[in-house]
Amino acid sequence: MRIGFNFLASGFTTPAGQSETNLDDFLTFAAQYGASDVVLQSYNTFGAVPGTERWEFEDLLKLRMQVESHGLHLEALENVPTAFYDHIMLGGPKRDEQIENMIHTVRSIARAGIPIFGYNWMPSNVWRTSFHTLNRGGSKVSSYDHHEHMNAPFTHGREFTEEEMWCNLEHWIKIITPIAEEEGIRLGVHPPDPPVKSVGGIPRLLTGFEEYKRLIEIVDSPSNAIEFCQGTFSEMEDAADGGIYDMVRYFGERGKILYVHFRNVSNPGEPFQEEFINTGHVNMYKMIKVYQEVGFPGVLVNDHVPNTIGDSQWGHQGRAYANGYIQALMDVVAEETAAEAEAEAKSSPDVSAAAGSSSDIYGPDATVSRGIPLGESSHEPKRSIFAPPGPAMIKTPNPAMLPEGETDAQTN
Amino acid sequence: MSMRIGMGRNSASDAQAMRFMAQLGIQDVVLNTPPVPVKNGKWELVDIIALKNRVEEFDLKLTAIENTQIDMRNDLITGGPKFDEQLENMVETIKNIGRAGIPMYTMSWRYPRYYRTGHVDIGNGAMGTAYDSEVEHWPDVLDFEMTLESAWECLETWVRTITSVAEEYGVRIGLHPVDPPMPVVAGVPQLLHNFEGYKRLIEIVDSPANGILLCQGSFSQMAGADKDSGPSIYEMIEYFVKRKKVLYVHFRNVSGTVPKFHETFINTGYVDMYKAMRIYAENGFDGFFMDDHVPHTVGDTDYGHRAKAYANGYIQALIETTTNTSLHGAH
Repeated sequence: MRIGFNFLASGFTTPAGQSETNLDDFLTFAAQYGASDVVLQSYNTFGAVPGTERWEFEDLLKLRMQVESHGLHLEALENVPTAFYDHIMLGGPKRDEQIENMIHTVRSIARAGIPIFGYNWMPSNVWRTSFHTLNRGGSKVSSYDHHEHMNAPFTHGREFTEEEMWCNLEHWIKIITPIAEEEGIRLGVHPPDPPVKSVGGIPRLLTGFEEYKRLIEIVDSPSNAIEFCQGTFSEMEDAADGGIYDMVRYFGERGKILYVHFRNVSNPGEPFQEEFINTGHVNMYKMIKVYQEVGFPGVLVNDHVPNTIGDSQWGHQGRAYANGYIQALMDVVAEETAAEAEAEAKSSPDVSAAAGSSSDIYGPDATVSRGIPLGESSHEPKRSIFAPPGPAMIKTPNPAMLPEGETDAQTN
Repeated sequence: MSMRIGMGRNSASDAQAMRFMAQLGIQDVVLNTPPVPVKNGKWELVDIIALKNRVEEFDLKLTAIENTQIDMRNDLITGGPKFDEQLENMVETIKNIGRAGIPMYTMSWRYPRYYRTGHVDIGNGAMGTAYDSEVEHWPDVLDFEMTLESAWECLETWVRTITSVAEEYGVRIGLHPVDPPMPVVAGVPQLLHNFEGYKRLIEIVDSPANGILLCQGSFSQMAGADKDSGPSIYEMIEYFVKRKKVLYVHFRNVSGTVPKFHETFINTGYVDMYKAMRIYAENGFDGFFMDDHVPHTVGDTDYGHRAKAYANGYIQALIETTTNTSLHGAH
């Protein structure tokens, strides 16, 4: 398992219309905070990758090179603008044209050396009732209450049926999966957030355990998989009574989890609100052990976080907190796994001590990941691989006297 | 028994910083050298109560005061001309801390406050502070003679005087090591730079009020702390936690020990923090952990909000996994 950050490739625009930061700043942040990987979200991108109908190989390659110049790996590209494939999702008149363009885009992503493309099946995107629900200490989180949206006007002119939406999804999966296989790229579908049956006339489709089983059975291929937003899965009614752990185990065992949005929410079902990583209903320690048990070899990224005071719009400090939490969980399971493997090797000397139950469903590279290999803890200083060889002492002209407050962070 | 999460700050005046702690779910607040007015060489009860009330405005709990202004106690440490006066004033100050209902007072038993010799890029432009005795050129600071014996005499007088007062007023005292943990700093002999020094400290008076602020960073920097024969950092933690001497912990990591080391991210130093956390838990530690001088990362505030949040998240996860309980009553 490895650690990643997910960014909007185009950064953010402040209310004053200024760019809050740029991709290089994001990447520096990710590298400093211990990530080996990044996932770039170009959701309705504002021009980070040019193209109004499809994306080109050269632009995506440039994006990957930019990521790699920071010593990071671009593990996945997440989302294309909804307008690239809304007719595919809804069976509109431009469906075939969009399919041609999407095939082109998927080939471009693959040829640019990006191994995963995550997308969603939400023509009307993510819904929230509020982005300012008060949480601990006055922090703010987003929340959803379906009662507020039951009578929402049709977002796409009429009420669509589940049957036709499934039909459209199946059509797409059957076409794109062999192409993805051929190009050596894996595709995964993000669940509809919130995972309610229907809103604004659009069935949300992938709203539970059974629906996801149906998705992966459309075509049995490593290229027909899941962008596992654990946050959204935790919002499902099926997440109740330990269901969230069962879903991770089920799809993890089958190698269907491409990468994980590792965040937490208040409760299964709605209404719900988002939570700090360790204040939601999911026990993240128990959860990460499930990923480890099923041999998940991929990337966990932190995802939306509560807005804490003084934080940036994207949430640098909130994400630093979440990532510190995730890093510790990884270190803990890595050490536990190594200890168990050692104990096992002692009790049965014939078994060549394998770390954990890594499975071959992910292929031979599964345990040879770029980040922290399974069974190794991050306290073996990993950041140094990106640092110039041999840290150079910088001599200061004057003795560093300790200011008032001698042991606090002010001493930097 | 419980292990909790804490955070430190230099004053309670910045509402944003206090809210930040409340939002992260901090259970114990430490104020380090807060700007309480020094009146006739001591802190008055009314000023300390005002400080405590300020912290409580944010639904936070002020568990410890860490350090008073250095000129309230420099001669106490070195045996300078104002030794008796400072001793008397510190006794009064600690009585007032107890009267205000603050259960801990901790301080660094060191003078002068020389600290580091530079910075090191610890990856991608993140900077950690560094110490190297070879480039250190700190001048001697004392204009009177001080020996190891006279230094111990000061510390012993302090501990014998303050411990019974602290017991009576319901305050636990904890001493922080000298950092860098060198036997002599700027010509001044240092006492709390190794395991032996700390063993001697806690044996001066056997009382819960004679304790340790276990700056795990400084202990990790002590000569030999990185070796099994050390004693190792893990053995030192076990020794003092078993004896119930540890009030709370500065939970940070470093690259190595004196004479040359630099600070690192919490998970990139030589100390296995999960192993350390298990030792606290297994030996019945009933206190809190706080992040401490975090690296400066590009784009962060001077206070280090991002880096502190990162370290704090790491610590919260270690506490929760080690104790297998939620710090915040979730799930």
